[in-house]
Amino acid sequence: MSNQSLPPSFLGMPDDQLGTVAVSLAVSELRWAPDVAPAVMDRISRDAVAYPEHFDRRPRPPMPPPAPIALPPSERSAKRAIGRLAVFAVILAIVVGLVVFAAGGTTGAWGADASPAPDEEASAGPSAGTEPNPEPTSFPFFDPATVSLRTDLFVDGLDAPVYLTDDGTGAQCLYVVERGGTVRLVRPDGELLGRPFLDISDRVRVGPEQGLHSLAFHPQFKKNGRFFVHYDSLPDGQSVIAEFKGRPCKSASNKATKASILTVDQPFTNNNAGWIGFGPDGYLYIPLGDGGGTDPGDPKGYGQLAEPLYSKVLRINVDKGKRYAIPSDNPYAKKRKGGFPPAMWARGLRDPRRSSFDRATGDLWIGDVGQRIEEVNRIPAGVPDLNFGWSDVEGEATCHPNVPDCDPSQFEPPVAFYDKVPPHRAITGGYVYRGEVFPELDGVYLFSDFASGFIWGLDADAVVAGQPATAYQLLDAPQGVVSFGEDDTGELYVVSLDGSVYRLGVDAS
Amino acid sequence: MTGTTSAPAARAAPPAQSDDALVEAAQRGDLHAWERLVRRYQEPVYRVAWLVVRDTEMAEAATLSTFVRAFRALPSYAPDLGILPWLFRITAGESRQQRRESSRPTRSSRPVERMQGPHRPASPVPGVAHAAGLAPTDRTVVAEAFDRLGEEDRMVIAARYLFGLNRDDAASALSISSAMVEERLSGALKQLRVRMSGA
Repeated sequence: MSNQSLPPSFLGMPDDQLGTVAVSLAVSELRWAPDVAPAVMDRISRDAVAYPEHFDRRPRPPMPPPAPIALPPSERSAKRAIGRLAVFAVILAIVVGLVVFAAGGTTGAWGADASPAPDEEASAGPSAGTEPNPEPTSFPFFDPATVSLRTDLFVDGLDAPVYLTDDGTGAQCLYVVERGGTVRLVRPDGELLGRPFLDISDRVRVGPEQGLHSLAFHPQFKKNGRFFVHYDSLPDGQSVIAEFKGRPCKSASNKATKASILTVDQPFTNNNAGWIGFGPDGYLYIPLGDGGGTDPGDPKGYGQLAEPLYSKVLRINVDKGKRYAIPSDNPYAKKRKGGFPPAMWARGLRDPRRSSFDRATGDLWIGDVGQRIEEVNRIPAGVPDLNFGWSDVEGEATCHPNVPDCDPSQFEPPVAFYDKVPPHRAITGGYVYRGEVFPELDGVYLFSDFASGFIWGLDADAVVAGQPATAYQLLDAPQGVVSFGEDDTGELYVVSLDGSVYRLGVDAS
Repeated sequence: MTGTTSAPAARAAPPAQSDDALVEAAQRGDLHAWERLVRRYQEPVYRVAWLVVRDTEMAEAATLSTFVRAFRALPSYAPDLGILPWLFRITAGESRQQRRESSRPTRSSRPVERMQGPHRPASPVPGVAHAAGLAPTDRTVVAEAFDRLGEEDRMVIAARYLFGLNRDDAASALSISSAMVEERLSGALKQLRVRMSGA
């Protein structure tokens, strides 16, 4: 075909007309058009079962609205005590079950007697013992209609803050992690102190998903001064868990006390997760991502591979061993069955950037950034070896088409999930509120999305009791949320990558 | 009412519901409203998907998942964004995802599930009328010049002239600034002219 045959009038046509013609001609070879409407409606109808209404922006209770309950502090304390008792009861039941099993008991007895039924746990609510609960499905702790969240600027002028935490000592300062490799000190009134708590920017590789991620204080920090950080190291972007020493509210030495507790090579620069934290059992928990790569997701298939540390939640004892020791109750502590690493506690996560422990129940709540679906996952206290399914499965029922004989039921389903579609892009895991100031939020897991800035709340206590979880949008926050933070009193903060930290509050309704 | 009988007067077709009204109804759980929106926009969505994946089956799968995911995301749909820019954005993402998944190494011999839904003749593309004076071979030259553009260039042209988005809506659809839309569009059309002229 000779180009000269194109009429000059055509080549000289205005831009708008040329664009219209060109794209129209390009698609005009599509002689047939599919009618996808039947398939769409069929899929949506099936979703009504497999995909409950987790994300309704109009706050409305999932069941007939219960009377708002604003428990006085004494009752809230009682509720927490009951929650702790329930956890204790579960652990006790497991121990008893193990004894029975060791003594020759049957697995039937184990299953039937040792595990409390969800209804039994639900009956441990506030009404237990005072009046019968005729509808055990009703779980009236959290009424979203009574909650109107707000964010109050706490401190700004930070350089790409990514995390906030407290040291557990009662000292009058908070610690804000900046992505570039510094930890800043902030007074309770929001005063930003000049000298950083820590500055390791000379060894931190910074990128959109790289940098200094988080900080975890040893439970005995006041006595031993030990704290731990998770960062991506120069020059290769390895994930490093390193230990330092310092004192509350004082600048710490930049020299790590140990070269590193743990170093993990990262084949890509994304999906590096980031949060680390000590559980109520005193062990350090380290959720790791799948090694990264986006085209396609999990290109090396690490998500379900046994041996690599990727996609695992690690659980280590930093009080023993040269660098660390393996807790004896880790599922693969002694026998390397299936090739799983001894440090593994759970697996099947893609990019668990932000996690937290519920300080009342000890459950680990995980915000797992997905390829197509964002997930809230939960590891009940003391429950090992859960598999959340990545990269075979996302959400509850979305199997990857290339996975043979995919059976989502073999994986632990998320507590809640939503699609990675605009305006949402990446979940920011949060905290179960256990503060004293806002009783309306007691037991509510708050989380967000980095892109949309929406803040949702779901009733964590209801989840523990085996009730359906519905996440309600409580705030359309103007700022992207890269992390939440929690202080020693249980009050929550919202960390925005734009340089600000906000204190979370509730407007009286 | 008199006793006379007559043929019923031809009833005027009810006015089409606006996109916003259908979206609001769908948000309230009216599946029929969503189905009407699907039928209204499935063809342009399919065309844009095809421009990304260049495979009719993958484009069909992307079209399906676009409307499923958009429905799931309705609670977070912001009306000020507009349904078309929103759909365009989701379509682009779903299409790229389809392309990625097709390149993912398979872990079984089972073939990737393919769509096999009903088909009908495609509607005429309005812009083709402007090319009435071109010989079939010239049309091919133009189409091939368009195909050789980069994906970003093709998508900005598709947003403006296939989806009919104005500059600001195209900016929302492409997640770039309005100024960037102008810049990218200008560059794309310039490239198109260069490629058509054989330079």
